[in-house]
Amino acid sequence: MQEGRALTPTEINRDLLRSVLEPPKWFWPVVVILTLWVLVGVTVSGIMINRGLGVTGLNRPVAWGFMITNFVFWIGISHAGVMLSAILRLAKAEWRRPATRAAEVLTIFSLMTALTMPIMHVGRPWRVLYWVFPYDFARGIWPSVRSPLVWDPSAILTYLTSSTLFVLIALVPDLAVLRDHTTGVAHRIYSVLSLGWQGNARQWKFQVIAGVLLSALILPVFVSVHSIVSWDFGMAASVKSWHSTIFAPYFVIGAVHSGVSAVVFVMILLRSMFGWQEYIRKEHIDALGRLLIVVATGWFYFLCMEIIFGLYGREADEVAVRTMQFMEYPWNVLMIIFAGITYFLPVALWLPRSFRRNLWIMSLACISVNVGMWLERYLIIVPGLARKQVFTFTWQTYMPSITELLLILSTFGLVSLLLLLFSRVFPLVPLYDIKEGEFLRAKVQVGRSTVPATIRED
Amino acid sequence: MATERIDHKWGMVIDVDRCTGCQACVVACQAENNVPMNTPDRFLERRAYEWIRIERYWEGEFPKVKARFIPILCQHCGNAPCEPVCPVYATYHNDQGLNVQVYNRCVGTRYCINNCPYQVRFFNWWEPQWPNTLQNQLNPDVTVRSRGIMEKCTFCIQRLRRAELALERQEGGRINDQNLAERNLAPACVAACPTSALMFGDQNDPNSKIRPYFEDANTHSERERKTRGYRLLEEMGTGANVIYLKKVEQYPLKQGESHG
Amino acid sequence: MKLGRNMVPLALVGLGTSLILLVVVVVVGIAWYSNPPFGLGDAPPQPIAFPHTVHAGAPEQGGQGIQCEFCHRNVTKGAAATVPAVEQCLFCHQQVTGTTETARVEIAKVKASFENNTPIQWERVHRVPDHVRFVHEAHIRFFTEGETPETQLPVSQVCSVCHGDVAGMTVVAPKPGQSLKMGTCLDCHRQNNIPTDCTVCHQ
Repeated sequence: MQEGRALTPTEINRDLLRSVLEPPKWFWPVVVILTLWVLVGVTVSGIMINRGLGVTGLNRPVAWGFMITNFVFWIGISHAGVMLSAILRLAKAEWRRPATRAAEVLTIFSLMTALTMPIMHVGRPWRVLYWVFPYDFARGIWPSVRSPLVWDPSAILTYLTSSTLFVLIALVPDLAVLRDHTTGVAHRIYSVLSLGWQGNARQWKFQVIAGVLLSALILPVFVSVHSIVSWDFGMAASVKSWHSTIFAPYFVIGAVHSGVSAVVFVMILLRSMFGWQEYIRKEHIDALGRLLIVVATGWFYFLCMEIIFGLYGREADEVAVRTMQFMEYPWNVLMIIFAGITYFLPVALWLPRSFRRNLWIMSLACISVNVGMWLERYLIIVPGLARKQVFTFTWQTYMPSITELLLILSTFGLVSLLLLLFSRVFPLVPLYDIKEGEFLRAKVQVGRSTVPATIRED
Repeated sequence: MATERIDHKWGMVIDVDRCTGCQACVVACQAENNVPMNTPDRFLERRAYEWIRIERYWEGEFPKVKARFIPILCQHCGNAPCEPVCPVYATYHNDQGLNVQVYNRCVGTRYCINNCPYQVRFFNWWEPQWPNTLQNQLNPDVTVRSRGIMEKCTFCIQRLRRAELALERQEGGRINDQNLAERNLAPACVAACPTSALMFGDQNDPNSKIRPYFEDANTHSERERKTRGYRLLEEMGTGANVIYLKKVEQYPLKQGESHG
Repeated sequence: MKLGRNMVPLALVGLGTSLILLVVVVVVGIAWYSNPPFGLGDAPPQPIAFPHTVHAGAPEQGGQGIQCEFCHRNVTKGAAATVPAVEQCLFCHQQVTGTTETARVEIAKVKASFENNTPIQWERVHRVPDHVRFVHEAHIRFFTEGETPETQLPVSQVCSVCHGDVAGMTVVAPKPGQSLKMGTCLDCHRQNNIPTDCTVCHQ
């Protein structure tokens, strides 16, 4: 049963197109601030390219640090899109409707942001051509398909392409609405983008088929992307604490955990920014909170298993990593904070129904999950490398430099900026999906009983 | 005229018993291979470059303490963990048993550092710089690596190539231990070692000094070996082409006893 | 609703992306299709207008027909072909002072250089990157001492495989249509069944 009052299509159009047609006053100032924020990251990248990666805090055994952590984090965030729109669409969960578009768009933008990270990480970005671009440059040398680093770009670019298609297909009916509400140049551009959408039965049929088909096709990609990212670590036979078979499901469920939390936070923001209280309702946040309890607990199981698997063998190098994580300052403090803010605090906040319906508490829980999941990747990557083998002579630790920190912070600005610009051009809540939901919830009186106006075949 | 390559398989034997930890090999390597200078800054950043390094471990408690040395360089693993993870084949195994690093192919993902259990790969975090007085000291046969490139021990491939051109192409001979030593074309660390703790040769050459150690280590399990040979982290199955000879304990300790 | 104002961000993003892509495509295209990249070092002006036609050109065409390896002495001995020392020029030019006015001026420069102990700063024309180790000797030997007729050439013909007909050039320029890129090296190595292991050239 859905809460709130029934909404007419006119109201839906008026409210949800507000972000496009009547932008709020704070829009351009916020865009300027975010642009400056992103420019900080661009400047820092320039310094890194110009002076070499020496400006980072990376050193010999710890050759992967903040940038790879951030890469894995953003790939993780991107998993929300498919989780919410494809899986919940196939599962016919009614409460997914307002969240789908925001989740998919967040997927695309976080994937794009994630892609910048390895490019900056190699230090000389132009050389990435040899790595990602499958061409032999007349030398007879191709990218090595044995390397997980070649699986990465193929998986991520496939995911990016399919997510973009997914968003575009869902956008077509909404673009047609926008076309009808605009004039001039904007009208012409929207006309082109809406691909001649008229809303007739045949077009709707194709649109629905395409959506369902893509949902089903994108599922294997969804599972494989983060599995492949986890194999960057899992395939490293020489880093004892990474070389674990549990990494693929552990990373995928962790990705869903952080991604869905991020979407909840974005939705709460949208709700208050554009006044969409009647569309993003507390019941939706509530439902996502319940989903998150399950995901978080599944993730926590894998976390425990990873540690137990590691300690079970009692190999000296594995024990050294765990000793660093649990006993040595500052890693032990980070570990406690991480466990607290990623599982115990948010799950405690999600359990009571009244908390799930409190937007402040939900925001807090979701932010804490994301900070925690960032820390999780950091705590896997750095101690794993710092205590890679039993040769104590080469043991080191890692301290990020200010440049790395600024670069990482600017990626958050980049995603926010892209989301904001998107909201200025396209509606971030799918109009047609909400209308469909309204249609399905309508009731008619038949004799003495009230029955749904539409009967679905499932 | 010979253009086909002779089937070499290079290998090194390091006698830990003879190593005094003098670091002559480290200096020789640094000079031969244009390895960037290790200034105090580099050490403080924990980014020192030592293609061969002497790891020093202390055994026992002061004052009854013993220093143990082990020179560690690229093991040129036959089944190297660093090779399959490189996305661009910048590191691969060549037909002479060497683990090759191609500087101009390297993109700098640093996955190979992660996957090297011996930690003998070095990344150029900065553009390497030499003071003007040392500019002419650089070896013209060795590429000067720029920033963003991985580098590591090559078994002095430039010397081996020079030997190949001079001995095998021009004179039609075959490289062996003796002519490598006579013409000073063995790797710099081997040539510099004052105690001959390092030995270099061709595993396929039946008369090579190093061959018996490799035969022993390749055919016998660790317990049945007739020599003192072992491979570093042998349990990882890297198939290293460097064999270490155990230190000989002249006065083996009994349980619970300490060094004196 | 103002006309098109809400399209500004999209247009900006699109414009920015297209600009960056355009720059990348143009730079890569020029680098790829120009030889050497961006035309750097392509027939640079030399401090002395040295005509290879006069020295190495065939006698019937008015040249002296001097063999390449007579001046570039190290080419059959070592890695670098070497540009001759000024002293070596004076082997002939102590006596030969030129027949035309330009020749006299240019030869006088050579003599001045010898007397002032200042080497001539020749501009390099053929350059392979620092990470390539090209050994002239091995290549000359392969094409002069082989068993098949194609590998029993005179030295000067071997040179022109990569350098073009230098004997016919007044100003030395790279061989037209021939790049000194890795693909060219590899093609020849593959044709002649020479190892293509990376360490053959990259050390």
